[in-house]
Amino acid sequence: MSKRKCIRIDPNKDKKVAIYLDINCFAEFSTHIYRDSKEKRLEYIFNAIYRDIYTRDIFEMYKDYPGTGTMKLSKGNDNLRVYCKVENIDSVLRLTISTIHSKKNQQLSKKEIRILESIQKREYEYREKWI
Amino acid sequence: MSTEKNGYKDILSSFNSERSFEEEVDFETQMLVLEFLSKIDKEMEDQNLKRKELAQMIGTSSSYITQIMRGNKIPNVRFLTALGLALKKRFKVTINNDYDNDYDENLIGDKFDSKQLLNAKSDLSILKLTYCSKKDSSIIEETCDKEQYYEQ
Repeated sequence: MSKRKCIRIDPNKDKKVAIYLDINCFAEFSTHIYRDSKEKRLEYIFNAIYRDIYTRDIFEMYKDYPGTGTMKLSKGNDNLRVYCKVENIDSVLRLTISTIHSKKNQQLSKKEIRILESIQKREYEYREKWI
Repeated sequence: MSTEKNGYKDILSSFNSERSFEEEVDFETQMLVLEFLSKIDKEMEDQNLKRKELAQMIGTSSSYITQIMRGNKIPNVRFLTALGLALKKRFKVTINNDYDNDYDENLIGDKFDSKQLLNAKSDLSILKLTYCSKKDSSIIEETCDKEQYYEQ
């Protein structure tokens, strides 16, 4: 399987956590973040993860689908979730934003399970900046 | 491709924006509250306690706890203490010195446009500020009365 490309988007200097964006998710990410003015919320979530002080209402890793997690952008009608690949490589926790999806029910739907299983199988080529 | 490259730059700048001193105080307040809440959340999970049960124990609603856990509302210290006691836990306070190393560069606010603020420490009434002068890189230390500072 060919590796998907992702690019680092966080300015964090702490080398223990790095956040990347799947290039294929670029347009979708930009649309949701800017249309819904979620930059501040995402910055809040990133910092909670850097400092390892998040609650399950902010970020959650799926025990049943190891290597996946979700950042919770909003609740209510749209319940926007940012699904991530989570890998620990060379003692650096790498989170790669892979899919954005509006979750409709409390339980995982078949579609959400498909998303998580797909993310589990993905392999990424990590880039630190735009080339 | 150039559009995407510009979009990438926009994304980077979104997460790298400078904060004024006041914005930094607000942000660090959110983070400090979150530090309490992450411990509460972990404890609830360990004790297998539902949000509704915890809400009943401290006389509030589960939706209010959810808003707080999401970071939408900032609770006061009394509320955090109540959460801790309901879980039979007591918070301890420690101070670490990592702040100087990790967050200095974000502390460049309107008040400090000619100098870079390296450090801000406070006791009950006095703010102690350490700057690096942009002119000659010398280190400047200042103290000011907290009330006067916020009146400016």
